[in-house]
Amino acid sequence: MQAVVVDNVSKKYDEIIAVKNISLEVGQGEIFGLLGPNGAGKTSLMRMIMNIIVPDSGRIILWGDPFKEKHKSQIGYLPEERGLYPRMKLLHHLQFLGEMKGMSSKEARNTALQWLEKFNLADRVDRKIQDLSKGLQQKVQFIASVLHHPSLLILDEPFSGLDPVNTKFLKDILMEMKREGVTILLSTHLMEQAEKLCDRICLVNRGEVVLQGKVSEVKRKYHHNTVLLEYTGDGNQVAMLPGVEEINDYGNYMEIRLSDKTLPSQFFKQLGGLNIEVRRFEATETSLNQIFIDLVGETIEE
Amino acid sequence: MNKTWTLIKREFITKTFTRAFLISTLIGPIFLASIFLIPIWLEKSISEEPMYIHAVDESKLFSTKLAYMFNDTLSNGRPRFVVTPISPESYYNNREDYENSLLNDEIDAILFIPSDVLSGNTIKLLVKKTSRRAMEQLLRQRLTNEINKQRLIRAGIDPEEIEKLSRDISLKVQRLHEERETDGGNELIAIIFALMLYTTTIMYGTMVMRGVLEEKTSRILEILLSSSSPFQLMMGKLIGVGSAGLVQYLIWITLTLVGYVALQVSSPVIATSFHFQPLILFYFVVFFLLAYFQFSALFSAVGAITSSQEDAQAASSPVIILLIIPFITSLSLGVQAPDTTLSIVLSFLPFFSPMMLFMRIVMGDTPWWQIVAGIALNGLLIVILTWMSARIYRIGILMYGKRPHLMEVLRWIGQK
Repeated sequence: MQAVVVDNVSKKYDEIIAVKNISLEVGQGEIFGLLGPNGAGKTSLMRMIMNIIVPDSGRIILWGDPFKEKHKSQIGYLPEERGLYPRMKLLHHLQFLGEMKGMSSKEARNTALQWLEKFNLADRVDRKIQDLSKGLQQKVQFIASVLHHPSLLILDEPFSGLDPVNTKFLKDILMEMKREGVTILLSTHLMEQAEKLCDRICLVNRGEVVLQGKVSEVKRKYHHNTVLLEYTGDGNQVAMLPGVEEINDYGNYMEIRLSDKTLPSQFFKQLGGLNIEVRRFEATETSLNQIFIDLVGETIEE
Repeated sequence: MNKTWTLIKREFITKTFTRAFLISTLIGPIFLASIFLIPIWLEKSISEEPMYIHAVDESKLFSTKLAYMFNDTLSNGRPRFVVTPISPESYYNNREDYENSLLNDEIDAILFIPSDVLSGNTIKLLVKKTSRRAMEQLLRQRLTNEINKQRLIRAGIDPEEIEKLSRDISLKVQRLHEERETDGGNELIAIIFALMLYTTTIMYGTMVMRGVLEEKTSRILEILLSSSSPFQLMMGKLIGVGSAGLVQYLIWITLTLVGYVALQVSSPVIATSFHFQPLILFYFVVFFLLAYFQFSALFSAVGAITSSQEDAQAASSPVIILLIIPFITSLSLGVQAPDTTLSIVLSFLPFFSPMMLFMRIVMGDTPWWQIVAGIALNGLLIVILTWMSARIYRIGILMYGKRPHLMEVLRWIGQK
């Protein structure tokens, strides 16, 4: 059974269309990525899945049933705009949020302590939220979303504002939860993250689905003959070479799309005639970001 | 239901374990105590002890009459003034002795009536410290009467006529005095109760508003909404903050009752001198809850449709006006004319009812059926207001930015 089925859902705020006829399915136990630029309708869609807002039309089915109040205890949510009661003490706060998800106060307290231990926050249980750094508050917020052992975890931009160390830390925990069978629905505008983490993705833009499917399938479908070149020297010359269709030049390296008939090895030989130093040459798959750019003609990154 | 309970618990704990709660809980009894202390103070200033006075009559107008002139009595039947006439010769010969007996508290005052009292208008009272103003006031009245009588006799008016006239005057003075004492007590109690009811309703109402707003601006609302329904959230806040208020009220009335019982044991005379019924304390709590729940429902709606403190301040002013007008009306009409038709009608009107009806009860003699009907109507109003506010709350809390117009907000009530 699918964990989440979104069936032809639309939502309008006054005259602005936030979500337009979106349908998608999230399988039990998979990590599903909702991708798209800011304002694409990701947050609205997530709120509708949790019944925080109600769709104007269409249906949302959770584990085979239309939304019921009891589903709230099975869902963990990390909103994009992080928020906690600033004057509450750390442990009390987590305990409160646990109880709000239907845990007993003792159970909530014990689980919170375990998680705080895991996040190296055990010595701060009596601190007020406002006395914690932004980074720590983010960790607390994450603990709050997983405290009650949800079967569905909805994460709105979980990686935004995290440093590389914590990004890895969070990624490891998500993989661990996936192994435990938790379904994870996350939104991100970082394509690279989604590519590595997600089983399936759905790309939305302006409230509409642009494409969806397994990451590997999406890539195969939208595959282009692409090479990655790391270099020093005058990169402009590369564009003159035969077989080059498009270049995305970053200064030190470039993504080069070749015509279908051009073999990467052939192309590599031609580089020898140019006045550049090749540091790395790689025949690669097209990135999701490139696919997005191809599909909607604008970049997803900020 | 469990979630509402969790919310109530959190609200209650965060509202009661604060310095502000502690301070207001402590200040409350001081207000309430003044209900007892002011009459006591009034009574004390007209002391229960007789005042011992030595009178030096240089004018020779009163001589032995001085001893009988002051025939006031204390509540225990003893004379209020004990006056011993002293000849001026005796006084000036032993002046030091007399002054010493004043210093040693053997007597309370030495009264000098100068020889030119009829034309000069001044009499001197020598005291150790001026602590018994009410007594001095009384003394002056008695002397003025007596001296005026002498003046009239000098002017050739029939002494019998004067006697009649002066008796009338003294009779009237006493009646006025009594009336002010009892009625003043009741009015005072009413005003203090009204003030406390008004202050606490505004305090706890705005607490609800700020709470809703804080959840909105700190964005914790989204997490709460992923755990419970908007209605549970609103009820959790209303009941949680309300129960903090209730606990504060219970502490107050317990202290007041203890004080009242202690007063009855220690000085029953004072305790019965003003009409205080402990049942009023019960109504005090009931009408606080009625006022709190109707206004806090409005305040929570205001908190939900605004996005910043300044915004909330502006948007809440109609609600505060809706609170101030009944307050002022109940202070004037409710206290001074509790049984006029207007007062009775107002005591059933939404928003006016809690304070108006309560003032009428404090002032006494409100028919029981009016009390029951008033409380029932208030209960009904609370249900309606809470329902309407919940409809507004549900939509308002997810809106950020510009505050919606009143018409738009009213449309939300009917929205699916």
